[in-house]
Amino acid sequence: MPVAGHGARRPSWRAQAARATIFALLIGGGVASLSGGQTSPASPQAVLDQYCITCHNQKLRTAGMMLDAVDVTRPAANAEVWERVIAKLRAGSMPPPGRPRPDAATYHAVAGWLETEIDRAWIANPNPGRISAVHRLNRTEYGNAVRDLFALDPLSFDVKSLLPGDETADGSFDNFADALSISTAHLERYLSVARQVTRLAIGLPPSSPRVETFEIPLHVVQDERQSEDLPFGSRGGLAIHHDFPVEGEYLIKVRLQRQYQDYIKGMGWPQQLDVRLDGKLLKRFTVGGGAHGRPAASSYAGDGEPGFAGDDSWEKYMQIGGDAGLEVRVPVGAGPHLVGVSFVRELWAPEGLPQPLQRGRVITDDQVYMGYASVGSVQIGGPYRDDARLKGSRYTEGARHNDANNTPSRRAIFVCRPKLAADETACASKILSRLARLAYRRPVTNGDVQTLLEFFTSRRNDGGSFDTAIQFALERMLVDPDFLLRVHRPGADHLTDLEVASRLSFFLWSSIPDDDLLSLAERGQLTKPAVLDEQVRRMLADPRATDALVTDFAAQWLNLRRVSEVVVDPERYPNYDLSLMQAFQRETELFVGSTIREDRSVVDLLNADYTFVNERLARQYGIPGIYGSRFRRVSLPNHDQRGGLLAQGALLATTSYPDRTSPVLRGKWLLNNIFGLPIPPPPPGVDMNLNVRPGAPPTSIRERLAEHRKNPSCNSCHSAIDPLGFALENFDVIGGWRSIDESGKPVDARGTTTSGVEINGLTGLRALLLGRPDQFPRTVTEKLLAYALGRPLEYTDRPAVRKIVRDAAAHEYRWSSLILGIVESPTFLGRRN
Amino acid sequence: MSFLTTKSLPRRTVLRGLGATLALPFLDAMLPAFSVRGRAAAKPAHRFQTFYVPNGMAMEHWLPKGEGTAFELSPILEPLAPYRNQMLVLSGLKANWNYIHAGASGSFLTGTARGGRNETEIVADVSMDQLLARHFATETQVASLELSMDAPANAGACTGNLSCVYTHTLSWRSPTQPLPMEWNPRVVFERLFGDSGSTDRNAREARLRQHKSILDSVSAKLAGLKSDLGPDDRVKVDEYAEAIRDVERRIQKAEQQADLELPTVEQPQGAPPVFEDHLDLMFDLQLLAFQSDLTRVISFMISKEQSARPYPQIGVPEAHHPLSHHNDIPELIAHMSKINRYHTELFSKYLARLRATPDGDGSLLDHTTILYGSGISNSTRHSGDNLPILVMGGGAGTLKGGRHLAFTDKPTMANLLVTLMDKMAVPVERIGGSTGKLPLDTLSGV
Repeated sequence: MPVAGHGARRPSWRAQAARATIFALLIGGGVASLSGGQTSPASPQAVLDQYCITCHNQKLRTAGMMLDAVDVTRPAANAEVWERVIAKLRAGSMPPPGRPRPDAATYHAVAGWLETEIDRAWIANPNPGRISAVHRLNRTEYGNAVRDLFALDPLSFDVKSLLPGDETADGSFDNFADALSISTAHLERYLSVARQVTRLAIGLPPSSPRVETFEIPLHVVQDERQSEDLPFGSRGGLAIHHDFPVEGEYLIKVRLQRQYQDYIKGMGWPQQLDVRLDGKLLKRFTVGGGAHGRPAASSYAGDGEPGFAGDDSWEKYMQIGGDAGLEVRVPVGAGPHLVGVSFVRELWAPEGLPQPLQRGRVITDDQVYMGYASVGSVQIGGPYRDDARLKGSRYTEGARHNDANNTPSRRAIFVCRPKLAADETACASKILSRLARLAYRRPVTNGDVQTLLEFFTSRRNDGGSFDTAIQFALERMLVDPDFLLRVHRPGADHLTDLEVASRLSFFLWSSIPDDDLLSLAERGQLTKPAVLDEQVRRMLADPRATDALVTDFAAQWLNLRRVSEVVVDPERYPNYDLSLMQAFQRETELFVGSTIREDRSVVDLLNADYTFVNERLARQYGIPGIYGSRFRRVSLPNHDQRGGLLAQGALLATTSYPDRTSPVLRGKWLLNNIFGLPIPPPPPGVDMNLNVRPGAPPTSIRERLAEHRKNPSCNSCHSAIDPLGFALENFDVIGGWRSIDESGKPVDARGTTTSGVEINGLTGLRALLLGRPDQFPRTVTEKLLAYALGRPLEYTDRPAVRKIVRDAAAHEYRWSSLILGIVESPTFLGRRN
Repeated sequence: MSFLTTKSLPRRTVLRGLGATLALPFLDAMLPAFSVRGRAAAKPAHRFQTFYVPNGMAMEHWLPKGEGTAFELSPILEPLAPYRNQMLVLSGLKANWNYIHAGASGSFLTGTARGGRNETEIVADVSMDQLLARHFATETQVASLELSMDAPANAGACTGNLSCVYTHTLSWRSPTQPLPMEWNPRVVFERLFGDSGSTDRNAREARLRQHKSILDSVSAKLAGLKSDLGPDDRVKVDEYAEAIRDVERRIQKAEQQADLELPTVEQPQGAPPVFEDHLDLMFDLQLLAFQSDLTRVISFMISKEQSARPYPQIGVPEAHHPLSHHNDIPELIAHMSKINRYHTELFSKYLARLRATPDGDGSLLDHTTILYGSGISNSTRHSGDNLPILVMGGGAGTLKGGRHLAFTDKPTMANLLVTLMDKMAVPVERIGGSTGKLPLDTLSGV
């Protein structure tokens, strides 16, 4: 019967307080199994009565939860309330510390019982949750769609940077339908981008020569070979994949990097700078060593104070002359090409007394006159017409379709060529209807084609060529709501095949369905279970899936997009530079990608004994014998210190402050993204400054966070957060392993979770996660599902998640098992009306 | 129809996209020829600009001693000495919504008394600059410019469980629609000059015609789409349609102003990596926009609220926001005040340029009203009382500078906003939680 007489069964306050005191003492010692002497399995109602309803009742209404008003024997009738209870039970965060708590077995039993009941009801009558009627493509999806439509080389053409950002903080994804709106700013961009993209794809010359600038961030260290696309024996510089719109003459101009005082770095000795096109050396310059006159005062990074500057001629060389004239004019054919700018590698070791590194300003100030010159930016400008040479020949519009101007995108678009004027409409119709089908992700109607043909004809009649007329029609296509929006018209309680095709391709590829997928959907075959299974596997095997899931899904889930924004105090961490940050990002990308490509268990993300490093990163991680800038897979010799996401620099750096680690940031991140137990933010008005008073002896972070333990309102959340963060205290701000912390004392990486489990360090944290084998897979599933659905999860989705995870257990929680579980779930295929 | 039961779902407030970046046509013409010909020597337009500084102020070093005309410039205000006679220092104003950092920037121009309650609830009020923008939309090609030095994010929580939107923008088009702030000079350039590939008039006009035909066609399609959806689901489509109308209005305006002579400027490639270079470029563009009357309303944030920008160039390598939580330690306050002073120095350079730009019978500075300040006073406590506020410029004759006005009855910021609207000759009854107007002209008897 519902609502047992809670008044009668509540123990006296005094007894409760006594119990609580004993309990609190024992909690600190890590013993969890004390619950008033009971160890026999209690019914859920009894447990609730004893531990929960004392606060969560209709009189007190603690946290708005009135557990005496709902029937625990029929949880499915109030799933929303019971899901909240399940979350608390699984986290072990209720009852709060200091109150009597049941033993771990009871937690497990009650939570399990509630889950089983709710899941059973859900499976009998699934509630797929809502779907947004209108879901705009975000910029990643737009960029990929355009890439696929027009066969653009993704390395050479970055559409994403041309559109308004959909950046996010941790927790949500940038493909959530509700967050994606269309403002005027968006529309203006879409209009402009549509024009640029289609002109590029068709190979129309830009209306005026364009200059594109490619920059190397200031803090990237250019001591080594920078990329696989630059030659061996090169140092520094930049490799640029660039899509040249048309054949013509282009100007490649190099600007060297300046230091903080605007002096060009490394001008004290001659170095050789190479400019290459598609690997072929165009020109080799000598830079540096050309300064005449008296140099600036001994501190090379002069402050600009009077009397310290050098002679005019020296100053001029250092600020302007040193990289004047670093340019090459070269004819280039249309399409994607590789421009490489790099120095010839000459190892240089200074003689004499080493100079002390200068501190207290931005790092570039440390670069000395005799150090390495670095590339600051490369500009590619053009096309510049050389009329005398090109008159009447290949540059004219009519001859666009000869070989020199035949790019992959032109071949993709022009599936036919009209020989006579009379053929034009038919050919245009063929081209446009083929592309519209893919762009609109459905069979084209007459109306679609007519609309596009109108634009084709109007431009043609205005004096444009066949090609420019097609371009204008495609421009119209890319601004159409059927391209920009995924629409789910009201209807049945399951998605149509076409809707599933889109949902599937945006999930796995962050792009439009390909021809095969679309054809199956058009024929109504896609949602047949065997077909769906086969398609998912096919799509996962396509390299686009690994790319999209790593750079779109994982990059957001694991904060990788914020790695390059990390600010680190260079005084405390002289090892810090942007090359290291970039290496962190690459490492995690390659690592996650390998687990997807090899269809490993997602648990390997926590427990792997391998990772990907280059020389810079290997040095940071203490892995010997790795040389060169190329990333390669290594087995980790020190599994107690490295291995898995929790020990990777990307995570550790993005959860730290510039000058110290933050167990709170790390603990919170772990709870939100690894444990799947989100924690609310602190109440407003809390002073969160932990900086040491000037002059006071440095205290450890643990001491500074003591308030969390003393103050009960802090403790309610921080008892969950802090222990997890402390476990990672062996990792400093840039992910390096340390045994002495900021206060000079040995690192204390111990902590006790709210359920009373003691953990110590990385190994303890890992063991905690792996101890409940389905916990991390559940978190991954939740993240994947939210990403796939394009909305945050609601209580009605929890049973779906649990079922997917249960089914995946038989397949060791491999990526494919989770993904297939999601795709085949009613939540993915259905909709609530 | 069964879909109407969607009414029972909680309908989340729509979050608007922020952060506009876009490639711009590249000009290889290279000269800053700032001559605005072809404008009648009519009454020069009155411009309004907001210049926002984040994370509060070292109030000990900000507050001037003395009131009225006889006030002493404080260390932070000292760089503005040359503009004293066009400067009003206001003290005693209260923030309308004092909630950590979200309230600071969220209510600065909106006067809203409250914001959302969680990460996905985005609500404030229409901001003052947008009220002005609506008015000037009939007269200028660009209704308003919203600019910042920081790229925005648009989802997730940034401060106190509230969306990042609050700290990344000052401008709200409607109570639920915050506007993105442009940070990329390339994008700003395009906003002003379009994507025709050159500032040449014929090319621009041809491009405008093309846009119009595309938009007309898309509108027709949208109408069809809308009729397929239930009433609850038409919001996004409505947004799209509204955006189209907006762009069409701009096109119309541009066509009407076809004879406006635009100076040729080299288009910036992007955002320079060095802060001061980037800032210079943004100042260039703002000056250009005002000078050529492409807009009369600019809202500018020198950094987003809760900014973590370090300022090593002035010897402050610490991130601004953590430093702003100085816990009332005098040494740290003094250290942070260097940032505050740096901001006023940079502001002073901007003012110098405004003053040096002729406009009608005076300078651009004479005909502009600039609101400078922050939505937080004591940074370490996120205090909302006694905000650091300046009103600079000649205000086209409506402002009497050279005074420190100390209000003792704790009027809210919104009252200042209403007063300024009056000065701009676009009176409104209320902004956000305003309760009246501020006596800017009569206080202290001067």
